Amino acid sequence: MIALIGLIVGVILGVIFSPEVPTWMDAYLPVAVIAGLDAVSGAVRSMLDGNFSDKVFVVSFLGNVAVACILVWLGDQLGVGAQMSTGVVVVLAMRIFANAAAIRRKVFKA
Amino acid sequence: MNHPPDNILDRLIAEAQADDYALAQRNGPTTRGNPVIAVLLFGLIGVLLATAFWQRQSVLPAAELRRAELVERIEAQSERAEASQVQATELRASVSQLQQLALNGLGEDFGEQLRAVEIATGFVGLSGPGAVVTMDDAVPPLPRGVDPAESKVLDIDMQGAVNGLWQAGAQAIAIKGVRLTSVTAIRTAGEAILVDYRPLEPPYRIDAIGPSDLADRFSQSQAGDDLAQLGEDYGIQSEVSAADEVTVPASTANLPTRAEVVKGGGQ
Repeated sequence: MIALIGLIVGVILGVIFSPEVPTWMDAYLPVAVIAGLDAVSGAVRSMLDGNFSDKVFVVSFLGNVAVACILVWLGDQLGVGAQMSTGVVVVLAMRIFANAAAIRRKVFKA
Repeated sequence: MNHPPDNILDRLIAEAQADDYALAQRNGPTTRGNPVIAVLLFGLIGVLLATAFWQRQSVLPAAELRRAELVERIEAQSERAEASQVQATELRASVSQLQQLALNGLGEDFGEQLRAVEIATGFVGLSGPGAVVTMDDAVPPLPRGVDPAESKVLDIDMQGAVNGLWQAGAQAIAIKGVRLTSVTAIRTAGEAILVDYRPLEPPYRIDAIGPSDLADRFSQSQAGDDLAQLGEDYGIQSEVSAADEVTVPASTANLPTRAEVVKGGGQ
């Protein structure tokens, strides 16, 4: 519950301040957002499963964002930045789907 | 997570989709992290979401704005063009009206004046008696001590000949079909002579309309002497002949469309 409040407060803060995103961050912002969505969906799923852990949440989110951004950066350096972010987004989207499916099964029993 | 699948793609997918929380629990009793950090992270994710969303939103209007600006400019220009067209039509109507007035109301005098101005400014093509002067670069053998580079007709030679013709009473002059007006320049650019900014090639034929003895008057003038001297010194070829019928075209030079007559200072 407190996590949900944190999320909503974050959105409100983002809307109020709508920070200017530097151009060099253009490639990383979407990846970070998808990684964030993945972390949130994983957290919701684990809450429903009753095994949510703050530590796992923090570590998995930070780890995933870091790896995703490093991959995209590396891809940029190698000239395959667009493909790399596609790959990262595909993997993260798969995880989001899996989490969403688990949540759906839990909530709707179907 | 059961036995890992053999297929590498399936395994990749299975690992990518692994439930971190279940795995962590299986590895031992879950240690509590700091809930404050977790909440802060949730907040961060929220900020990220909002930022990404707003960025998209703000990028689109920028393109829209530019488009709208362009459309506005196009419309403004179209309006201007239309207004100019209307103005042109009105002016044309007033010009023909004035011409009619000149012919009827103001009498012969004004018509003649108009005619004289048109002739003097090169506004109309003319034909009549006059003289034809031709100039050409020297052909070998050149006079002693003359460099081939010096044996070409220069802009200053042509200016001299033209000024001589004016002095001898020419009323209209054209060089190789380019009508000379008060704003026509004769000058050199590199190897070529430009008349009214058009490069001409030798031989240069200068048509001049004037009195029937124009050719004689020119030949006897200082300019005629200079031309002859050029032939002796540098081998420049020239010929002056009278002609019963010389034609010069109207000027195609840009008329001073931006100039306006000073109020009260016309005459």
